[in-house]
Order: sequence, then structure tokens, then C-alpha cells
Amino acid sequence: MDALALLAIETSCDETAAAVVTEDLHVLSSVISSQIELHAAFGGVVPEIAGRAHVALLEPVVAEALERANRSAGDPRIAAIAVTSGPGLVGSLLVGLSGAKALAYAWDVPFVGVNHLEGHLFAAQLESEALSPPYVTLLVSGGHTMLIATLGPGDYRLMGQSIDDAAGEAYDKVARYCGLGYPGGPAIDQLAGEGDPKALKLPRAMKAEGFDFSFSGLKTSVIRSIEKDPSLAVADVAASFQAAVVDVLVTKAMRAVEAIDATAIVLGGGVAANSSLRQAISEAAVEAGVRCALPSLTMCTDNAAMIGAAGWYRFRSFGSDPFTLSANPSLSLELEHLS
Amino acid sequence: MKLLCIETATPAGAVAIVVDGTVLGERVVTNDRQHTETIIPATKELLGGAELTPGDLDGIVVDVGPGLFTGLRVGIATARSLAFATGTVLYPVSSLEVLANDPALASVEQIVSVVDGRRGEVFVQSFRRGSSIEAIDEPRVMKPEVLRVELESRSDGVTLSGDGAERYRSFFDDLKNISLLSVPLPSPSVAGSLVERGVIGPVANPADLMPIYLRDPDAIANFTVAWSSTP
Ligand SMILES: [Zn+2]
Repeated sequence: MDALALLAIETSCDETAAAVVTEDLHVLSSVISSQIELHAAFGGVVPEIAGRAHVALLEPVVAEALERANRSAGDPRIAAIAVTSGPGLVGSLLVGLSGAKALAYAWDVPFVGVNHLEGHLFAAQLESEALSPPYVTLLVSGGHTMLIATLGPGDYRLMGQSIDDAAGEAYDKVARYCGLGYPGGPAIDQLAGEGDPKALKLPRAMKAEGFDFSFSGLKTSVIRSIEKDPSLAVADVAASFQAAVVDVLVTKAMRAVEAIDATAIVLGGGVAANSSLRQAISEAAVEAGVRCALPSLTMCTDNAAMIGAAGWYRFRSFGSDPFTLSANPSLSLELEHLS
Repeated sequence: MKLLCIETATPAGAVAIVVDGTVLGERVVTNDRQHTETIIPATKELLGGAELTPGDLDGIVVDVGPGLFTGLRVGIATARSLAFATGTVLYPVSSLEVLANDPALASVEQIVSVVDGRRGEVFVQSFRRGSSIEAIDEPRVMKPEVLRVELESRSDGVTLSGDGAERYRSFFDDLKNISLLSVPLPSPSVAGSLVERGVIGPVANPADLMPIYLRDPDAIANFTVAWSSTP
């Protein structure tokens, strides 16, 4: 008999994803259909375009995930279905949620709603041995910039977050200004390697205290520097901008680790693919004597395997959810677990 | 033929079970933009009441619009997933055609279906009653004032139907050749009967079953990119 497996679905933003994950968190399949090309012309995610793409892609992506796990619609061998119910774009969430309910009803299996952020917190556990709380997760992407403390199973605290732009968003905006295309992260990361990180004097907003972030001023400051001196080498701009972002992220993350006496620092989100951030946070963790968990790029960005891992946790701890569950675009990580 | 019929093109979503031409049950759920909370619970209740399971269905009929974009996506994601899981057939119906076929319009010759498209626009299509209901033009999106001008130029008597006609009633009220008939919701039972009578056939490939938008996403996007609302 095969191990119990769960089908997970994720459609909260611009990735249509499905995965089959076993009870012991072995990923049998994980399929991600990215819409990056659809949104590139707009320099960011367009909700209506995302909604349209999800409705086209959901069923093929689910079919592919089942097939890669040696399953099919007629022989799903699925113990439950987990789906992201928030936070995210409401029109995107609704597509995955509706499809997941229909599949669970038709196959007569339990249905579980999952918080997208909790999924990110579980991502590291799919690739490395279990982390022991308390630990801190630095979640950085085009939409998230958060420091989250995990104090115990299901016990989370949002320690800090961006008060304006997300880090990834600042990357995208600077890249767009420099004509480097969308998404901006990989392009800036690559160019930064050839530039001088000290070429521009850029601000490190709010670096000195607290756990919140602000990247809006940094972006403006980069643009102003280029306007003042159009001869600036793009590589130098990229390197200086990246150094400022990484400096603030790592400083705050390690302050959070110290504040809760954490055993580990975990990286998540698309910006976690950034080579300079990965290196800086690893070095800082060694210096602080804590473990550093750096998931692979596919596990850092939005995917359904992480929803499957969080789904198993929720299903075992709280049972299934009713088919009346609604999408919650601003679902919070902490409040949900107070009940 | 055992059909599950799903209607989510307007704020009032509905589900019906039609078996061999008889409506075994219909649920209308009038809470705007909450179709995802009600469609499967209503389906479960109706099928359960008829002592049927999803696996017993011979087909799933779903309104593909035009209508509310989010509603249509909920209905289509639900229908496609149900069909995928059970291996059953999908039948796409148009909201405008379903409205024109409503029995409340049985004595009417010239029908214009008008579905509210939000953003100050309506989705419109004209039909004529011959031996059956025939479309005399293509579905279009337009401002109600433009529809008014078109209707003014028609010499025959026309009956308007649909939630768009209801909402923009004041645009048409004073036109002498126009009647307004209150059929606000495309009925899923009527959609089922169109399939039963062979008026509408199944889709060859489920991937072809997509909403009829009639509006370009670029126009809607208007460069309002979801920067800060995407976690
Ligand atoms: Zn995410």
C-alpha cells in the first residue's frame, strides 16, 4: 500500500501550482505553471490576467501533478485536498479554492484550507530535517517582506514587515527604471556581481532599530542618483542597491534571531534566490552560532508542495474545513491560530 | 440524462439538477461574489436529496458568460474540476442564450438579452423566435446609452430581459417599442433543458471551456499592477 498522500493546490498570486505530498512530507510531484511572461509587459502582476490564466491552467496542472505521482483522476489515491485560502489576490484564490472543493466533493475526501504564509514557513521542512522552535523565517519576495517567529507548532508571531514596498518590489522597480526588464531580481543580482557595491551612497532606512522594513526611500534614492549622474555604470547601481537591501535584511533578521534566542534562521520567498543574500545570511548565522536553512529556489518561490506540508499539519491538528470556506485576501497568520 | 447545471454569471448564483427533462431541484444563492462558498454545498444538498453522487452524472452544464468575471471563473473552475474528477462531459451555455430561452418569454417574438457587465456596461445579444430561439447577432459589450440608440432605430416591438435591463431600466423605460420583462437570472434549469433538447452539445476538449469575457484584460489592467496586494 502506498503512503497516505494529499493533493495540494496553490493559486494565490501568479503561479498555478499543484503537488502530491505524502504524510511524512515526501514530495511525490510538484508542478508549477508560472505566468511571469504574461505579466512581464506590465512590470508586475495584473490581477485580471492572473485570474484568467488560473482558470485555464488549474485543471491541466492538477492532472500533471497526479500523473507525475503515478495517479489519475480515476485513481487518485488521495487522502485529502489542501488549498491556499488566503492571503493573496482574491480573484486568483477563488479559482483554486473552487476547483479544490469540487475535486474533494467528487472524490469524497476531506478538504483543508491553508494559509499561504504558513505554507512558506513549512517549505524549509520539505528539504531539510525538522527545525526546532523557536526559529525565525525571513520571507522576502515581490509581495512579502516579513520576519516571522515560529515559537511552537502553529504558534507564529509576525515580528516585523515592510511598511511600504516589499523588497522584491523594490528590485522590480529599480530594474524597470534601469531598463533591465521583469522580474528585476535575477537581472540585478547578476549585474551586481560585476559592479562596485560602494559606488553609490544609499540609505539603510530603519536599520538601527526594530524589525520593520522600508524600501520605498531606497528606490527613490537610486533613481535620484541616476538622474543626477546618468553616466553611472548600471552594474555599480545594481551592486550598491543590492548591498543596501541585503545589509538591512540580514541585520534585522539576525536582530530577530537574537531577540527570541532562536535556534535557526530560515529564508523563504523569491528574493531568497538572491546569491548575495544567501551568502550574507549564511555568514551571519555562522557568526551567531545558529542553524541557517536555505531552501532551494523552487521551494522558496510560490509552490504547492509547501501548501501540502502545511495542509498535512492543519489536517492532523484541526481536521477538515467545510465547503463553505471563503477566500480571505488578507488572511493573517497569527489571528487564525488564536482560535 | 442526469445533468448538474451551474449558473454563476450574475450575482445570484444557482444550481439545478435536471434528470430526463425534469427539474429535481434548484437552489438560487443570492449573495454577490460568494459563489465559491455556496456552489458545492448547494450541489451536495441537491444531489444528496436526489440520492445521486457526482459519479452518477451524465453531464455538467455551466454558464460560460458573458457575465461577472469572477463568478464565471468560480463556476467554470468548479465545473471543470468536477468533470475532471468524475470523467463526465461538459456543456457550455451562454448566459444571453439561456435568458432568451426562459419560459417567462414564451409569448415574445423579439428578445434582447442584457446582462450587467459592471463598469457601466452591459453584455447584449438579440434573438428571434422561429421554430426555436435563434440569435440574430453576436454577443457584444456596450454602454446602455448605445443600446438605447440601437433600440430606438428598431421598428419592431422588442422585449428586454436580464439583470442589465433591470439595472439600466431608466435608459429604456420611455421607448415605445420596448417592453421590459423581469427575468434577471439565467436559469440553470433552462440551461439543462437546452442540453436535453440537443440545442447545445458537449465541448470536445475541457480545456476549451473558458469564460466569454468580451473585454480585453489589458483594458481592465489599465496598468494597475498588484504591487502591494500580492503576498
Ligand atoms: Zn508567497
